[in-house]
Amino acid sequence: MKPESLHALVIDHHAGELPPEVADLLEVHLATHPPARAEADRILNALHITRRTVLQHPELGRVLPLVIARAQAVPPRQARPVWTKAAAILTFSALTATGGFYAGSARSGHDSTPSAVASTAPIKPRKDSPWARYRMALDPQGTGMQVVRVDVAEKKGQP
Amino acid sequence: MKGIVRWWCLIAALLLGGCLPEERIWWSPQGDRAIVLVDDHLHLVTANGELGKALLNGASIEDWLVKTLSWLPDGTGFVCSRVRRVQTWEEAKPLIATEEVKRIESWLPTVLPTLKSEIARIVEPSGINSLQPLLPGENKQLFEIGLRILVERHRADVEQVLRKLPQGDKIAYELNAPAGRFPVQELCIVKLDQPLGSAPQGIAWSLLELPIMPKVSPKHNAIAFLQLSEDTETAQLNVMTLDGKSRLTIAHQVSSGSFQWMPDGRTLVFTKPLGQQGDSVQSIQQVTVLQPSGALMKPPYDPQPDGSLLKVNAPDRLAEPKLLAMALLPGSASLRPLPDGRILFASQPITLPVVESRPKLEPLLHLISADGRSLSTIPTAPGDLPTDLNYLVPSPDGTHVAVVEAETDAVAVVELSTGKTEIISAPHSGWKCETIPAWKSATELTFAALGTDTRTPQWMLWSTAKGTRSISDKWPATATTDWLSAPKPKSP
Repeated sequence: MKPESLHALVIDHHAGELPPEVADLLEVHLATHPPARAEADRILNALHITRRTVLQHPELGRVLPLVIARAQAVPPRQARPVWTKAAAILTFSALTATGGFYAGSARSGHDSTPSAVASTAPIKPRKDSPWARYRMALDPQGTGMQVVRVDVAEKKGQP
Repeated sequence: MKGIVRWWCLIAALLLGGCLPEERIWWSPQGDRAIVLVDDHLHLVTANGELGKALLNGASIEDWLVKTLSWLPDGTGFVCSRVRRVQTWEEAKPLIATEEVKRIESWLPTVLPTLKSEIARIVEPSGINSLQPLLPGENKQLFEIGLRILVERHRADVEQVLRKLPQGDKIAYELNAPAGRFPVQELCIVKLDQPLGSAPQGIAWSLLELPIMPKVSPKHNAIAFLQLSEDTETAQLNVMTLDGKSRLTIAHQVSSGSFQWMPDGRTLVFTKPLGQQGDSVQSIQQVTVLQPSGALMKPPYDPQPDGSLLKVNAPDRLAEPKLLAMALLPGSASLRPLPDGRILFASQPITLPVVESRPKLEPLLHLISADGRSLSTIPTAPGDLPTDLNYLVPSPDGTHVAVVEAETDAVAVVELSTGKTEIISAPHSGWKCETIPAWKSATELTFAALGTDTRTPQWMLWSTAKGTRSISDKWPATATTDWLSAPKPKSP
């Protein structure tokens, strides 16, 4: 791998901008190439020192308006393309009633997607379920949804 | 979809707030003896529950990152991951990999400036009385190890920097750590046929990339384990020969704990988040990591003279993992291969698009067929299974699965072919499970439950034929106290 490619990949990885597949390949490369690992550590060291320096001297971190304008002109990069793929697969699963299950991508000659739930015949609910039960509720403090265990409150109300 | 995932995460967060069930019982593959965790010490017990002396020279395992172990297939010993504290950097260096030594030493020049920078940023210096708040946002472990080395080499310089804090002397004392400055994480083999007190045989060590959760292949001399990077907070799945001489990386950024050997002893199944670590939408993948001879597969890439990597496709090369399924999995996704090659897992079913604003959270048990081509759902009735379906323990013959949850002390056994669920231990008000059940044989399950007479946690043995009885009634009274969590006293 060319040094400049390694530099770019390490910096992107550090910024969390590499797709997981590429990050995996980079980790494999670093694990099998001690010189590349050492170079990556050198870059990370430099980034670390830069970060510390900017924290201590925020004035160094100022970005000129021209640079900002150029940055804004660049279209935002696709940070997590894997999610696009995942969303497509999950949507596909839903359309084929697979209930969140997907199979067959790595197989050949198998063109039907299997169903997760083979039979949906009604089953009588257990009357004496021993397990904790929950419901969703709005947090009174306005911080969003919270999970509330309900069976404890019900039991307290019992004689 | 996002809503369901978010709520699923909320459930996980709620459950993580309390004590969670953990492994405390490990039956040997032959079922003739078990290792149990009593008061943070490992003990050997006989088949009828007779408690032996503490193993590992009576050492406490309180500081183990994950309290688990894995039996050798012949039942002569086990593999575990422990913390071995050494006093000096010179003692630690020969244990860890050369590359790790270089990485730590190359970081040293940045350590003292970073410490000064972190101290300069503190708004309330009087509130800082430990090292933890001084660790930087990234590379915490690397920084801490570096700081401990600097204390060895330039103690006065470090103390001078720390004295800017009112409680700097206390932090300097913490850095000197009388119990051992360098916590080396070690994978080791403990042989039970050797004289009591024999030292375990170390096979892997690290200060930065911590080897944890070893699982021995049921057929070959190899172990799978996670390598946890505290700095990046990610886990990597590795396989290594039992002599520690060869190692192979299988996958990066896997879910903690969710990997198992398939019955062939050559193939691993594991989960991996689709997006970031911790995401509930996960893939279930399978890959063969050992050759038929039991030797590790060779890496998939060969380095070229120009520094590039060339992918090689050959029967003895590690192939790309096969994607078996995608599912909404709980935080500690529980994958359980069965002896016939099917894979049991728990998942919240999702139907998209969803019109309900608050869908019911009712995870179910699913089985991936042995050929990986189909999926079936165990036909349990609503209310048979807990919402917290994280703890599944299949019987050795794969016909039943034991289920517990964190919020009650109930124990159930589900027949996988029919979904018929039997509650073998009813819940007791306020009591919570802290012990994952373990099968002694295909028909005998051991678990923690309240004793009928004593009303204290006991180790119970259940079988269809003989019902339930205590097998720890001759143990010291407090031995199993923490196997269940007692009701909290009501606040006034």
